Amino acid sequence: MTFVVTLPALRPAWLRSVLSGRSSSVRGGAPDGPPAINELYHARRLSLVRLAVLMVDDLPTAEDIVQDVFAALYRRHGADLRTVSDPHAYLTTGVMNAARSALRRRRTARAYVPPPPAPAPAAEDEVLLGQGDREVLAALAELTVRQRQVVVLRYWSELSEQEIAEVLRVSRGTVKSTASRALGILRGLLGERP
Amino acid sequence: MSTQMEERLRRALSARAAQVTPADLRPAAPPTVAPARRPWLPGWRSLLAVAAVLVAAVLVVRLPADAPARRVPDAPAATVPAPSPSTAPTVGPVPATDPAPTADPSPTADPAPTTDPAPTADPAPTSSGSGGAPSPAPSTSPTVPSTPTAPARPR
Repeated sequence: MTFVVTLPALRPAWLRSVLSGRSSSVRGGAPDGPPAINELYHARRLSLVRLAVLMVDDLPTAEDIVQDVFAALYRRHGADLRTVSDPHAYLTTGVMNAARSALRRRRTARAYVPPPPAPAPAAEDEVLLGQGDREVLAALAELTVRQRQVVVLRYWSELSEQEIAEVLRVSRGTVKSTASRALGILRGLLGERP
Repeated sequence: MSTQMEERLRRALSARAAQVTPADLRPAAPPTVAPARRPWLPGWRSLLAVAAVLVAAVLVVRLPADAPARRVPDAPAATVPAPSPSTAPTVGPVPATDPAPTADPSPTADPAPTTDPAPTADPAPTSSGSGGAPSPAPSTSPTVPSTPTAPARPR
């Protein structure tokens, strides 16, 4: 007797995410088990919140973004995600679009209302983030939304140019030129020579 | 091959992401926990369709039944008597000279004089039927008093 076990097709980005310990495997939705979207929620929530935090620099807003994206996925496709070809790419795209909308709203609001004073960083943040890291993050805040998206997806999510192009729904050449321009700006802001 | 800038970027982004721990997150609320908007049950749809058909049927049946009832009131304007044009110019001065409406033998026979500008005039149907009395028929010619019969007034 031979048992054939079919493994789910894993995309390279998803494989990297699994190997890095950011999430666990997600089943396709057993008939008697919990819904697939709930497993996906528990598996990807933390990594998506981190991704959103890198975009919007605000944990409550990041959590709202991730919750809204999951709610939209559930409203549109239900609990069983068999109709979604790649739920992970869907979620990443949703988080990126929602973060871009949040940043645009925030910039529009800051045009009329002065921003509140930044809270003092916690002691553990001071330990985790060195001075060099804070400078880099401050320089990241100077980039445009699109440049920041490309930098975060490229250097934190470790996606390739083609995968970034699919997530952001732009051409690969746009990703390449945007990343090059963003690195040039960061070098100028941080006083580093290419 | 990564440059020094790319390494700095990776290190800074990883450090910022590491600040967010599971303990920092709100309690998990999977999307299926929140009750989604329930779609309408099929029974409601069929019930609504039946109700709509019934309302439409009632309207269709009631409308033809109500239609003849609206034609009942009819204008009685056709009862206006046809005047005799031959008598009109000759009896013109009579209403002006006769101020007494009691001279009319049958003032209540015809309701038409109530609308007549000259209440003393005798309606045509009753006067023509009596024969002897002059019938001015003022209802057919309101301009009768201005006719050249004024010189015939006795002074």
